[in-house]
Amino acid sequence: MITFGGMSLIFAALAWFFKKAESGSRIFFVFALLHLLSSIMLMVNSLFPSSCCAAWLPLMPHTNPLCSYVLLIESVVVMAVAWYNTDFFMRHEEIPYRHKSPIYHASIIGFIGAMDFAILSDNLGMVWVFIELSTLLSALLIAHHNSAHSLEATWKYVFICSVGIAFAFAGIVFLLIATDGNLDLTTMQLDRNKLFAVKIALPFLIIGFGTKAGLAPVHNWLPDAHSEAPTPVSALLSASLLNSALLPIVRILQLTGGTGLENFASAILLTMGFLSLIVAAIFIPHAYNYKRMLAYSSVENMGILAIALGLNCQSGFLIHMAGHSFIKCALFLIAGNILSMYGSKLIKEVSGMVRIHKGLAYLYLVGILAIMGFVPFMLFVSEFVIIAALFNSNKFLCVLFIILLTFVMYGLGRNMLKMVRGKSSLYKSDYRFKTAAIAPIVILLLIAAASFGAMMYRGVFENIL
Amino acid sequence: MEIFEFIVTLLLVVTLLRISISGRLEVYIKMLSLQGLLLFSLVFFTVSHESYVTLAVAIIETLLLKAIFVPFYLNKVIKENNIKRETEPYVPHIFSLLMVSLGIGLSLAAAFYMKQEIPEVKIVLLGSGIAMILCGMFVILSRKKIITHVMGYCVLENGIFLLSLSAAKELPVIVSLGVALDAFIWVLLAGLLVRVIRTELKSQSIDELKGLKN
Repeated sequence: MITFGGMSLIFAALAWFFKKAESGSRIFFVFALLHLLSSIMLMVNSLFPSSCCAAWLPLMPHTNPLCSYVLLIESVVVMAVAWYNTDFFMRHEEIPYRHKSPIYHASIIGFIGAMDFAILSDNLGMVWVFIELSTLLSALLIAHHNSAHSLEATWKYVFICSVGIAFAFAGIVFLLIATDGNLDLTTMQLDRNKLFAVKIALPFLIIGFGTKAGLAPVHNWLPDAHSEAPTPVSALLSASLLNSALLPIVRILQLTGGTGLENFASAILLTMGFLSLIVAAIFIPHAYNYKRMLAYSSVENMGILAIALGLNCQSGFLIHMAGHSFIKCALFLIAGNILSMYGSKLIKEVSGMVRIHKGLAYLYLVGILAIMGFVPFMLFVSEFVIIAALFNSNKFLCVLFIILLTFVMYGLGRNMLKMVRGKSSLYKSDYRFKTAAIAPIVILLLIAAASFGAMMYRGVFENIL
Repeated sequence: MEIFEFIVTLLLVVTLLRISISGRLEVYIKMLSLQGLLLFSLVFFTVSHESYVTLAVAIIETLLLKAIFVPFYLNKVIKENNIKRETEPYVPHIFSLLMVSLGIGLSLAAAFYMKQEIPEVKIVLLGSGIAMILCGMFVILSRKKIITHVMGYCVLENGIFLLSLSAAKELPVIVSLGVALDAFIWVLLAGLLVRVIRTELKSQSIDELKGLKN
């Protein structure tokens, strides 16, 4: 933890002192590289405690594998975003904001550091503190363009998330009663005589952290913040911040095992999950802004994750979390490229992409198919597993789940085809992107496809069926 | 000591009622400051202190932050932006008074109910803590100006602090320090946002922040 904290502090300070946008993005890139290396080591270390990595980095904590897994997903996303970011400030639409590079890069690194702490901390109180800190640091990033819309989005984000997180703190206070003052998630023992306090605490904790994770009905900040933030920030918010807010819920649920409160918690999670799916199924087909559409798709996927948690379907949850992060990050980066090509976030002003930039159009197509859960991407496996678990527990909910997913797929597909096909609304026909704007997207989608291949090879399906 | 606790929480409830009927921002700031002082007295005189560090952190959080810094800073923001009163709230004052009183009643009832199940909570603190959270939410929902929303959030935060006192289990020092730091940054950021929104949007009202829709 000291490694991650120290690293982010040093690099944030460096980014603050180098005023040029080029050096800022290079510093961020080096930070992301080191970040990825350390989290790979941490993952190896938590799976094989006696491996050589432990000797290399004595500062590495012995975290549980779940936290290292979430951190590893975050690191991969951060790496892709940092690579994309090296090109971001060179774009013509970002030139007026180049003077904001020091604050942008310092807060983006600080934001990542806060997320690291929120993921790695064992103390629930500290998890709360760092999730709130990540809200505050990312607010500066969402307000980057200083326009009326981005300020409105920032305001809603800071306000709704802070109020939600305040409720989570109330939940922590009640949990404190039942755990005899111990907040350490690894050693925490729930007192069987004080389960009433836990019962009060659970809704507060789930709704509080769920606000930050973008679960309906407290998701209202998410579409605004994700659509108004600059591209790299949208990708980071959607692909790693939401996961880090969901992690405390998972860890608290692990504690309630065997207390008889599992059904209560899973009822809350299933309700919120299905509400999120309904919200997404209503809003995605009517979306007028493609970044908002992607944001609503995040609400949908967080809903699916909540359902997986409610069903206690661990493999589905873990695969879906990773798959959603990689694919959604790729999609937001593609959306950034579309934005700089067309200069508009409106779906009706973007058409005929395939005539202007064939590669990007096909990437967008593949990305949308991947987020819908088509073969050969990870989300196919996870959605399959979750549907199987739902089928075993409640057939009505299973049918509802499939119907809602169909609506979402219809909306995503229709809007995507509107943008890709048709007559081009631009005169230019040879738009060129640098490697940094395309390569991270390709790599993320390849990772999602390769993981699918690996899972097929290891025979995941035989185990489930 | 119980009687002292009772008087202090009674005063806290009175500040809530005062906030609910007021349209002048000056009053809100005075009440916030008073709440900070009352919370400080609660922490200082009633909660047992195992070490000087805990006490120091508690003093920083209540006296320095809640009673002095937040009101001072919000006052500065108001002066700079020439905001005097909360204009035309969504609901009349008498109605807000009724709502807040109802909230206080309900919270006390909830506290009584919880006390039966969890005997170690301090009922007066728990009840007034929930009441403050409800009142903060009500201020946020019923008022229009952005700066009033910030104050509503501060009331809510004070309520959460009171709730944490009621649990009779102290939070680890590092956590309270982190919470205080977050609250500090939050207020700074909110003040900054009020200023930027005013200069960019020429507005102080939440009604102007309705551009993003589906």
